[in-house]
This record gives sequence, structure tokens and C-alpha cells, in this order.
Amino acid sequence: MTALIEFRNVSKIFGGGLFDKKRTVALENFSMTINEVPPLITAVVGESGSGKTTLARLLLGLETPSTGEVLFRGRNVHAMSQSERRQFLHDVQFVFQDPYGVYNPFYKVDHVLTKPIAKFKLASSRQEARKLIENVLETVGLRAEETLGRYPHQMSGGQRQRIMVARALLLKPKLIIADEPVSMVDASLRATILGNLQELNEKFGISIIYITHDLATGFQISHNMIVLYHGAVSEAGEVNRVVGEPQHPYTQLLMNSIPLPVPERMWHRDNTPPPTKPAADFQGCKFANRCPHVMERCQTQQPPLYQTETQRVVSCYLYEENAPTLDRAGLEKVFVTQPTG
Amino acid sequence: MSEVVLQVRNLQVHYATPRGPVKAVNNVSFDLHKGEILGLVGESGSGKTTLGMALCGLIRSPGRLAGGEILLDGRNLAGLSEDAYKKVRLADIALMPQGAMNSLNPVIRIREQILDGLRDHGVMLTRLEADHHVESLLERVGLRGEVANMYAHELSGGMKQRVAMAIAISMKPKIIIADEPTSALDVVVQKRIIETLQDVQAELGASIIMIGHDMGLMAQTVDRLGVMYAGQMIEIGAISKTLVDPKHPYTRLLIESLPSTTEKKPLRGIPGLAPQLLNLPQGCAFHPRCPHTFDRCTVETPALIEAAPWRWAACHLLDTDQ
Repeated sequence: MTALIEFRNVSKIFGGGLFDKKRTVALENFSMTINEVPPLITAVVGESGSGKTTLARLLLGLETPSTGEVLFRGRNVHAMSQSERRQFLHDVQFVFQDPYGVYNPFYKVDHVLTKPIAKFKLASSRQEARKLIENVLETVGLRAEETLGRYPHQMSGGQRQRIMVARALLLKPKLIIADEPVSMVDASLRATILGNLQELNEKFGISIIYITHDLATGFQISHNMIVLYHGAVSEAGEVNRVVGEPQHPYTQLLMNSIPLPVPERMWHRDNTPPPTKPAADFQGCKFANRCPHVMERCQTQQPPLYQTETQRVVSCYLYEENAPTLDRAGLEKVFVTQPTG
Repeated sequence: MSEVVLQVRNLQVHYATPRGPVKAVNNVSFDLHKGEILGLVGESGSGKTTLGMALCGLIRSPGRLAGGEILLDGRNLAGLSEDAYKKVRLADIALMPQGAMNSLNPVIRIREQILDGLRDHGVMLTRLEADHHVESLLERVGLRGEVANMYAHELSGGMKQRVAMAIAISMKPKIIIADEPTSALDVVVQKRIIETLQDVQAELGASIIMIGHDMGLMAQTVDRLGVMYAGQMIEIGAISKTLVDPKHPYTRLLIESLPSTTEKKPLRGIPGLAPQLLNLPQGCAFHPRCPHTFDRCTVETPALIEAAPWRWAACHLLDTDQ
């Protein structure tokens, strides 16, 4: 079994030395393996500043880890030869948050689709290229005759985002990283785009890393979930376990903040303080200053990962009893390896 | 129902284009009651933001108010001169614009930006009074007094949104129009901003029109909900009733398109695309996307009818004579 991606004790620290006030630990000692077979959707959930986008940028090779290494199919993404890098850029595709900013307004939307075909020589003739484009557009529910030949400003945000998904599909990648792909799209169109991503996973066998702050959409499309807070894993495991019955107080906070359209499930006022960046030399649990269950030891030592169930770990002292600890390097041990219902 | 603060009657906003007028707001009527939060939802291009701008007298060329009345405590604001409307804005109707957090001036301290509006309305304050006023406004929206001396770039997205709220309430308006007050914010921050908005509203006794596209957020926030489609109000009524038993098929689809956290189901959005306003379909504007379309929908535009007590919807299915 080959690993598709592997994070080995990766930390990313922005800013200067240990006593620099601006020093920010964006990702701390993070390890994870995602297998190539079977292709699954992994959700990475957290607020702004949780390190979820840094994780994606490290994976793409846009950031260099401060310590540790990131591997794609066994190759360090920061030490690839030119031809390896080229193959990597083919195999890993990205869907960005902002469907407005990624288009050049002077080009027709065709440009984002024809460019990768030319670059990676996916078609030998114009007709073949056109056929390819029509196919991928159809997969995401767009009609070629209504899409091609238009300028970005003539399309809705939802349509633009679907073209980006179609573009990713064009290259038949091994992995798609989708960073908040629906947060700037109308609520009514979100479902369609997430449905598209799900289809790419099921029909074309593409693994997906879905980065979001919304547990609800993460629950709907993914198989495994990692909840990050200030660069550290709070909770991780099979998605039905994590969202169905969140154990970490931070996951519970995220869960209780989702506005549900259900009159019986109204928001409770809990007065959780806003997030504050822990000091660079803070050794305790990063969620301690917002946690309603905070204990003395939370301020001094970061809790390890407690494996509370076969398919879940929680980094919280509340679950210390009767739960074995799991090495942070073995996060994937609690992930499901087969798609579940 | 409590007293009515604002009555909007047959409001029309048209944008002139070479291919004819675009009816961005098409014959919209509704009442806003004292102390209530009214939500307006719809897809991009449904006219909800234009409606909010029209209530603030902010429609600029090539747009124009093409008809209708905006009655604030019985006084018609439609057709007021720009100078006269300036006196109404902020003092009576305040706007928290879309992306309010990006509307702050980056080179002016927060204190000055809050006082700017007051000065424009001829409110004279001594330095001490001004300091006190700014501090109490900031505290009311959950910010520390020190924020007054900061610049926009020193604040987080949620804090900037709170500053926009402080500016909006600086003259104790009767009506606050909040256009997507939490878009681009994280769920946790979003919840806290909405809670603050509710607190501020209760304290001032103001009415709020909250514009957005997220049904879930509306469910948690508003008292009544208006649903807009292609410039028209197609359903309006108490949110608690609308959520359980939506009267318009579009409203039902909006609610169903939200992801659940308890059961996994196939993700389906609303099929089709929002219509082009220049080229609206004949009859009901929603009929090409509606799962229940029948002959009448393609020829006749449905009018808002009272589908249940205090609930109105514009759909031929509700016409019991059929």
C-alpha cells in the first residue's frame, strides 16, 4: 500500500526567534498519512488561524516546513527534480476559496481550461481538446455551449467555482485540495459544488482534502476529519464519530456555532471568549483560555492524543481515564480506510 | 403586531442599460415593525442589496427609483432630495454595508471614523463628550475602548464588523440595515456578531433588516423572513412558520439545500440558474426551475396572496380555486 501523502513531524513557524512576539506556530508537530487506495475525502476543519491553509500550502510546496518533511507518493515535495515537479503539478490540483480572484477578467473562461491542455499536452487536436472540455464541464453539470466563449463577469460565483472543479478534473489528478471552495458562494449553490467534489471522488477515484470552517459540509462529503486549533490537532477520526458526537470542547464549540434552520435547535449563548494567539513559549493546551472545562494542568502541559474509540482521538485531559494515548505520529490509525455510509 | 415603523409600497428600482431597463427591485411591498428583525434572503442578483440601498437613498445612476413609496413613520422618503436624504441616513436609517469590514478607511483612526458621521449631521461634541460617546459605543458592540485609537489593519475581521456596527448605531437610528453582516467570517465569530447585533437592537429598540443568503443564519436570527427572487418578494412571514412549512417551492428548495449535521443525504442545490433580469421568463419568474410548474405558471405572474394568517406567498399552487 503506497501512501499518497505523508506529513512527518511537520512544524511551520512564521517569524523570528523564540522570544519574538510575532513568532507564530502555524502548524506544530503534525503527522498524517493518507493512502492512495481507496481514495477518500479528508476534511481539515478549524477557524482562521488554525493552520489549515498552511497545511495546504505546505502540501503544495508553497511553504517550506520549519522541521519535518512532506511527501507525495514517497517523494519530498521540496526536493523534487524538474520532471518530478511537473508530474506533481499534474497530479495535485487545487480549488481556491475565491472564485472571483482566480480568473483573469480579460480572458474568456475557456482560457483556464485550454491552458492546462496545452501545457500538459492532453489532446492532439482542437477537436479532441474541445471534446475533453465538454466532458469535464458536463461532469460538473455545466453545458459547454452556455459556458464557453463567455467572460468571467458573465458567470455567477457558483458557475465559476464549478469551472475550477472542471479544470481540476481535466488533469485526472490523484489529489484535489479544496480550500474553502464554497464559503464565497451562495448557500443554494453550495450543495451543487460539494456534490461535484463528491462525484469526482467516487467516480474518478480522486482523493480530496477538503479545508473548511464548517463542520456541516465537512460531515456531508468527507470520510475522515481532522480538527485543528492553532496548529495542533484537537480531535480527529471517522467523520460520523467526530460530528455525530464531538468530544473536544473546541469541536463542540464549532458544532454549536453552526446556524441550523431548525427552530428547535436555537443557538445557546455561551460567551466563549474570542480566539487569542497563545504566547510562543506557551506549553499548555492551546484552547485552554477559551475552554469552559479548563483545569490547572491544561495551562502547563499540552494533552496527548487520547484514543477514546477505535476511530477517534481527542487531545483533551477530560478523556484521560480509560483511554490509551496515541503517538502523534500515528494519526491515521484512527481513520477509516474504506468509504462508509 | 406592534406598530409599523416603515412601510414600503410597490417599490421599483430600475437600472438603465442599452438593452432597456433592468428591474432590480420589481414592485416590492412590505411593513417593518418596531423592534423586529426582518430577514431578506435570495440568491445573488435577486435584488436584496439593491432594496437595502434604495431604503437608504443610495441608488445612483444608472439606477433610479422608478416608483413606489418608502414611508418612515408616515413620511414618504422616496423622491427626497440628496440633501434631505443625508439627514435621514444614519440618524433614522443606518446601513452596515456588505463587506463593511473592508469599508473602513485604512489611514484614519477608528475614533475619527465613528465621529465623522456625527459631525456630518451637525452634532457638536466637546472632546470629552466625544471620547465618552465613542467609548460607550465601542463597549456596546463588545470592543475595548482602546480600539478607538487603532487603525483598521490592527483589527480582526470580526472586530472590524463590530466597528461598522458601532458606526451604524452612533445616532440611535430607528432602522438598521445589515447587508450580509457576517459573510467571510468563521462560524464562531459569526455567532458572536449576531448575538451582539441582537443585544444592541434590544437596547436601542431599533428595527433591523438583515440581508443574506444563508437560511440557517436567518433561522437563528430573524423574526420574520422575506424571500426575494428576480427582484420580487415571493414569500414573507414569521420565520418559525416558514421553516416548518414553506409556502413557495423556491423557499422550500432553499431550506432543503442546507447541509444537515445529523443525516447524510445526496447534496442537491436548486437546479437551473437564476434568471437574467433583462429577459425574465413569462409568467412566474421561477417556473423554469420549479419542480411543480403547470400551464398557468408559464403565462400568468402570481401575486402575493395571504397563504396563512400573516403569511404571504406568490405561487399559483396556493390559489385554491384551481
